[in-house]
Amino acid sequence: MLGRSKLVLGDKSFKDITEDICAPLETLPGKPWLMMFGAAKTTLLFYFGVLFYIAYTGMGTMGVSHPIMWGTDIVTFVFWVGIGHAGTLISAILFLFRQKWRTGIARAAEAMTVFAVMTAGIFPLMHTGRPWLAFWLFPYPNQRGPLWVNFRSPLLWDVFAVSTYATVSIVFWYVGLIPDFATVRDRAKNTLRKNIYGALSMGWRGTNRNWRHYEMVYLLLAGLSTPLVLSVHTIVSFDFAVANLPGWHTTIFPPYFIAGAIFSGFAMVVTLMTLVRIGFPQIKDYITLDHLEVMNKIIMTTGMMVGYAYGSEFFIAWYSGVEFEKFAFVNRAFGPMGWSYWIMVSCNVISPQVFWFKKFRRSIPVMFVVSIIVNIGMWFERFVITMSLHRDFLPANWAVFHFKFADVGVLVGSFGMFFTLFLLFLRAFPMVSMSEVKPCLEVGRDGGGHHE
Amino acid sequence: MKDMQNNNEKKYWKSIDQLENEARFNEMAEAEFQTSPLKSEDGNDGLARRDFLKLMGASVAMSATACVRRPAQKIVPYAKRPEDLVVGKPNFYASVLADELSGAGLIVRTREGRPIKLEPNPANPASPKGISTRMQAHCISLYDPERLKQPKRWITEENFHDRKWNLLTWEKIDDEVIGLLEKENVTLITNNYSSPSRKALIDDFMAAFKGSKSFVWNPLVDSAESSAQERSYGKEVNVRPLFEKAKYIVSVGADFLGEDPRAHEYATAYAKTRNPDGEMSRLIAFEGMLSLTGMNADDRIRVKPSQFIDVLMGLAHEIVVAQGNGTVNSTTKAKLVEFADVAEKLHIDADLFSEIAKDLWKNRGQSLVLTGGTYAGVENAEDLYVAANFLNTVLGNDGKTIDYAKNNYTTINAKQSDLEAFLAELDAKKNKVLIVENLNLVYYGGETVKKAIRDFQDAGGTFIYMGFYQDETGDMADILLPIDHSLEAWGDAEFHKGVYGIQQPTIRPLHNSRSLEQSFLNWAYALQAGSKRLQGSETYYDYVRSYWKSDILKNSKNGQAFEDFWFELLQKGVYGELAENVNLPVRSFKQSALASISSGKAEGMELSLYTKAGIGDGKYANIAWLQEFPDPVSKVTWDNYATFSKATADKMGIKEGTIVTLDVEGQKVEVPAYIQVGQHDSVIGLALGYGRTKGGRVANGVGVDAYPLIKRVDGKPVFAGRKVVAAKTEKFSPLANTQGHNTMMGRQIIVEATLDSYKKDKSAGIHKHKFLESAWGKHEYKGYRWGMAVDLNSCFGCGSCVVACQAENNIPVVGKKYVLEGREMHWMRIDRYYSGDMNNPDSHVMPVMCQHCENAPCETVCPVLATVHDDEGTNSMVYNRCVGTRYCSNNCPYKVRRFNWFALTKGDRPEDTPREAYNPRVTVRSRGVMEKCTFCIQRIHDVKDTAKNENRTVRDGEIKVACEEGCPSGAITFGNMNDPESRVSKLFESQRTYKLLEEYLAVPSVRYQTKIRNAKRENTDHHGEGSH
Amino acid sequence: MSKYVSGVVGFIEDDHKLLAAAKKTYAAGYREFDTISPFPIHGMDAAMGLGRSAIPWVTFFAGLTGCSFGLWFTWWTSAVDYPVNVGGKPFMSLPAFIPILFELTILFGALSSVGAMFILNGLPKVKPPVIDPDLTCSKFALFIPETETGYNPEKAESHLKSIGATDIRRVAEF
Repeated sequence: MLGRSKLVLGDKSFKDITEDICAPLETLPGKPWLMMFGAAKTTLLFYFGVLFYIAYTGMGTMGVSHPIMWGTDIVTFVFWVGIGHAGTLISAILFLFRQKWRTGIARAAEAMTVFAVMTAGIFPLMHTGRPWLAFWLFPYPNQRGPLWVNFRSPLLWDVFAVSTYATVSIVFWYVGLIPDFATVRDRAKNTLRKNIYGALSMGWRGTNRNWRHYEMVYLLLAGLSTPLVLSVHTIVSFDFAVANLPGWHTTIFPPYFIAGAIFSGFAMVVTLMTLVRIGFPQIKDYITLDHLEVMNKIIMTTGMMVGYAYGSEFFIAWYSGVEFEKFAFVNRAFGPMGWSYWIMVSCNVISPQVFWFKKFRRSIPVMFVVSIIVNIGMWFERFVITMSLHRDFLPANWAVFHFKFADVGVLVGSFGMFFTLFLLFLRAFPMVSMSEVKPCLEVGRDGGGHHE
Repeated sequence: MKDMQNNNEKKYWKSIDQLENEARFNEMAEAEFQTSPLKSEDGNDGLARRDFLKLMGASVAMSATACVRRPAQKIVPYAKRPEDLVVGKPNFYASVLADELSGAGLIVRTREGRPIKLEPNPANPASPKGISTRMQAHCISLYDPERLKQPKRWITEENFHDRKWNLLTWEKIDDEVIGLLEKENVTLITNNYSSPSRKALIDDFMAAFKGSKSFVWNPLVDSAESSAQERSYGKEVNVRPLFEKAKYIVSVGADFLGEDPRAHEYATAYAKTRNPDGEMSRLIAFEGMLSLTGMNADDRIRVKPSQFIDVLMGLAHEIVVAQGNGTVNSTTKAKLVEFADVAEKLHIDADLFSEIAKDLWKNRGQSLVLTGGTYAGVENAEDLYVAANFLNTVLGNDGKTIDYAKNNYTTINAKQSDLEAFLAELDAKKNKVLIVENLNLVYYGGETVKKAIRDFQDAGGTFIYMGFYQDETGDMADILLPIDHSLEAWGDAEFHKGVYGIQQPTIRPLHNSRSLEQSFLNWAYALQAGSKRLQGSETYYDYVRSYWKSDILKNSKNGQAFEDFWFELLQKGVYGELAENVNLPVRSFKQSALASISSGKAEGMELSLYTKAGIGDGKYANIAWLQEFPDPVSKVTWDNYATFSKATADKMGIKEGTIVTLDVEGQKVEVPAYIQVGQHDSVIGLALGYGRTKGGRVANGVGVDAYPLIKRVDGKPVFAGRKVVAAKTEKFSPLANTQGHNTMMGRQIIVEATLDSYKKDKSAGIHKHKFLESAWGKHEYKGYRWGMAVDLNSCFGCGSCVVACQAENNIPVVGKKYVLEGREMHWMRIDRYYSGDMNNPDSHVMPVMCQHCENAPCETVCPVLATVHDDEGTNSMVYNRCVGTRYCSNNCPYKVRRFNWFALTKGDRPEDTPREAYNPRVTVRSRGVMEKCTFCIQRIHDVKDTAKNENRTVRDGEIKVACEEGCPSGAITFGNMNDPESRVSKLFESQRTYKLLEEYLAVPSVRYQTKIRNAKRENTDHHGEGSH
Repeated sequence: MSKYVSGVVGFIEDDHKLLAAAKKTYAAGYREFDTISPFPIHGMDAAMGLGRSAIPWVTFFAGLTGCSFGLWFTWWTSAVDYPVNVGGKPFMSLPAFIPILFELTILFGALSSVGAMFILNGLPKVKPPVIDPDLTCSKFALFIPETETGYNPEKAESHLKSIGATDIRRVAEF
């Protein structure tokens, strides 16, 4: 897509690349980072407090109630899992498509994936009535004598999908990190550092006999992660689609959820990358405006996909002729909780339209704001879907969802967790994959590099 | 005896002693009867007391386990367990509950000697099916931690505000009282009661102290009825409407299905006439507020209380004058002519009005005109009754559908005006001792009573309160004496003339309490005063026995020896027959009685004070079950409220929860508003029984006290028709309403058809769906397969099942705060919908509990198999396994699952059920666990075990689930769907049967029968036709 | 875990030259030699006469194992060991189990491929000898180990010189 434009700006040598990328690991953090980290860490501690409060007092401390038995926890879970998808998409799918431009952002995006999935993982655990027993969801042999789990339950599929996804993403990420760890190790001055990164690098030495298997595994992991990432959000969408609740029980959910996931994920990548570029100016040469522009295009495209999904949902509801379905969707937009629907639409469908203009696609402030709006919208998308519960079959049960302190607490707190991890990552790990960027050095230079 | 044991199936006919040791029983009982009063009260005498103990083996063991007073004497170790007591097996005792205004025969279910639930006594000819909400509450009140536990005497002289109390022993109390009684006479006032022995005892006692005077009073007694009888027929008698014989019922403000003390009895009878395949009765309700009766009426017409008289006289005019039926003298005719234009005056559809009159005449002898109760408690309530009597006489119903043969209800022996008499007596200060027993006089009577008592005390009188709580009245007393709970004491009751029940204690008194009867016996004995019978009885048990021997058995033809009789009585719990099929001549109506009747002067808004099915007169306000019981009509819990019609509310800009000020001739109350569709536009309703100040931690501060709004015209209370001015305030207080939305949105939820369309098509109104083949094969259910049929046609929505279920299944109470958040826990709810014109809609009710679907959607989605099917088709909930993902609830189309959002069973909140009251057969659920209706699985297992031991299969109807048992009208039927002969299978075959949300193919095991309305209107969701 | 060997290493300016050098070295009959670079170089496998990695087979069979294990496990737990009637569905509700099978396939496949890679690469190595720290940063080198058939340091050095190595060292162990 951006064949001739340079992937790495400012005629760098291999050495320069190493220097640039290792700098954050080898220098002391500056004020901005420390301030952000301080804020994030505080939020994280607050988060732990809220979680403890909920676990200690009971789920009733949150807005969930009869008949709306799922609320902020599940909404935010789906939100974070969705965020995760962009990372895998960039590192795996674009890798399979041999999109060289991915190399600059792949590492950070994968990190985002891992942390997002970790953040998400807390919610299904915490939303249960008895979190201390949540391990019962895993099928392990036990003395309660024959007693297993219910493999028919989408929640159990979730357990498998999310845990597999987390495992594979972490492995994928780590395998990608090995050569860079080796680089850091070999640059290390003091022994402690040498030992730590030495251990992390597993004694990698970059001989071609190793590169040979390494590249193959990387390809395979990419190949495996691609269906995996698609399956994960498909299965998350099954949590809703498999239920018979009007507004949940729709076949469009898997593709719709995946589009939404990519949408929100890329928005989050843009948010983070713009910040990273501010925090670490030297990275501007690796994560270039071109990168960001491409991602903005994807954001707009997926934004329109979800927009299409919103529309088709209504059409199918009407076309199905099922009175409950019809009502569910009319109620979604014009019922007592319609406000959330309109927030969703304006954030997800309308706001990305600014990216029709190259000027905006390439403007850091614009894309930063839009990316945040999009993520707000995507949170509300999941909220709107979950809230189908508030008016279902028997009108006697109808109710409206009320946010309580704990709802806001877990939502805000989860960001604390995510950013703490991400900020640590920026300082501890090479945030751009050196061994992947270096081969692309010539891309876009005169002669266009060489490819066999 | 033996064959009697064989030919009855129910194990629980076992009485308090095994049949085997009948001999020992007799001799012991004999011995007891002869115990000399010379033996001291403290129990050292032994024999009588010890036998009495044996007699109550179960209870004794109980008192050993639950530590009560004087354990040294009473402990019976389980090593030598009393016969009858098998740990883990319930024992059943026949007893009665003589409520203030009604009585019922009961079976008391006890576990390890602990009464845990009341169940109806089928052997009782007079008592209704089912158990009312308040009866369940009565059982749990036994364990109320705030009961009065000790005799007390207050010591600080001056101010009433902070009074210091001395805990005293009964001996000390007795000394003091006896000392008083030597010199002084007694003024006694008690609540209504229906116990003949008690009456005899009180009379004996009063006779013993010349100049003593006893009164009986209750705030809700409707004494206008009997006085109207006298005015109409010359003889004061309280009559009994025979619903089972009435084909055409017109109720003018009489809520015989809801607030009437005997609503259960009437509902049982009325339900019999609602069979659409037989000759179905037709019910017309004229009323101001929306009552349960109005909700179930075939046609409902809105009239404000002050104009009820016009309705009755108007109908009389239609029948007698306009349609020229019946014969009346000219003066009467003239009087009736005054009411010629009632229809247009009251904006009633004239055709309908005259049609009603026609139908009444068509059904003469089989129709029934009713009025009375608080809704009709207007100033001229007596006129209403007279007019109704007139109609019933004209229509020849008198003697056919109205049994005037005798005083049917001996419970009603109070006159409202007795309060005045009592106050006068008090004022005269002849007697220096005032005893108030089991009657919260100060709360009911308000300031007047308070002042009277205060004056009495200032004049040196001693005020003794024998009560259950240290309530508003108790707080004023000089001497506070705790009385026994009816499950703790002997007693009896006369439900109907000639139908008696015996009240067996099922547990030793938990606290240091003593009944009025026992106290009187002790005092009389100590003073050597009163009749032989009075002094001759050591305990009230002796007294009851001697009374029955001498008085009740006397006039019975029963030849058997007293001890046989007594033993059989204890077994059955009841004695005597209800006179059936009375066919009495029509009494001559004194037409002069009509002379004083004049048309109601209706101006402005009218107040209508009423009582709710849950709280009633407020006696049980401290029982959280009742506070959280959703009102059958409004579905609101934990509050009383001023009800406004929709139109009025809109006009005044009032929303649900807006606080309004009601100004009733100077008295003001501030109370949140509730918008009650179907209410008359110029009526404001307000429930009595709330706003307790010393009712207990649960009762205090819930709602506002409406008793001060009752006006007393020469002693007669005016509940309805008083002029009220409502003013909107800016304040707001949300009402804990358990129902989200009130219309069915045109969905097939409650299917209803008119009788005519039903006659044409048995499955009228039911929309059948076509289904594709299921991808899965079905699971087979060999053996039993449990199912439940709910006949919406005989369900009146009273909600007794809800509390019965709560009592059986240890369902926690969450409190107003959490009901507001929608966290109530009832496994069973009664959905109430309106359809048609919102000014006077049709109301529809439907009990919804877990439907135990064959393809249960909840099961599929539970990740840990915490809810699965058992091989008898019930959807079981495995509490221990539940981690609380709540997915099951999300996937339940009926949303019948309840989640333990908090730990609600720790017993650390006032609302919590006392631990002793829990049913040991049912798990108490922990926090974070999902729960729901289990089809009373524990009962199923109990019966199956019994059947297994007798190696037979379970008989149809042998298993009674709690809701079925609580239902007065037999709307709920539980049984084995696999047995083609079972009632359930039969009902499922009926074409009226449909499945809720059938199209979702969950295939519920709970199925409903359509409601049939005997009305002219066509389909149920008719818009704009509702009003008449 | 492969023993460390001694040998001769020659440093070469950049990746293109290294590729050429490797071709020459292979042509010169060397088979055991290896190249060291900070990033994988396209075509190097061919240049060194190395075939395709065998790991895909591992992935395939591991994935197959995962899938069939999932199938067996869901069947055994739901239909054999603990058969309960759940929502009226058959004990073996295969369609509902497919997501499980799928996830297990991926999990087994991914983990064993990575495992295989570690084994084949003899990783992890504890503090392996490093010829030059810049080899993981900017430098490229070609290494001829002693295990080479008919290994002779002098010949190796001269060969390296011939293919344009800038700096040639003898390494005690690598």
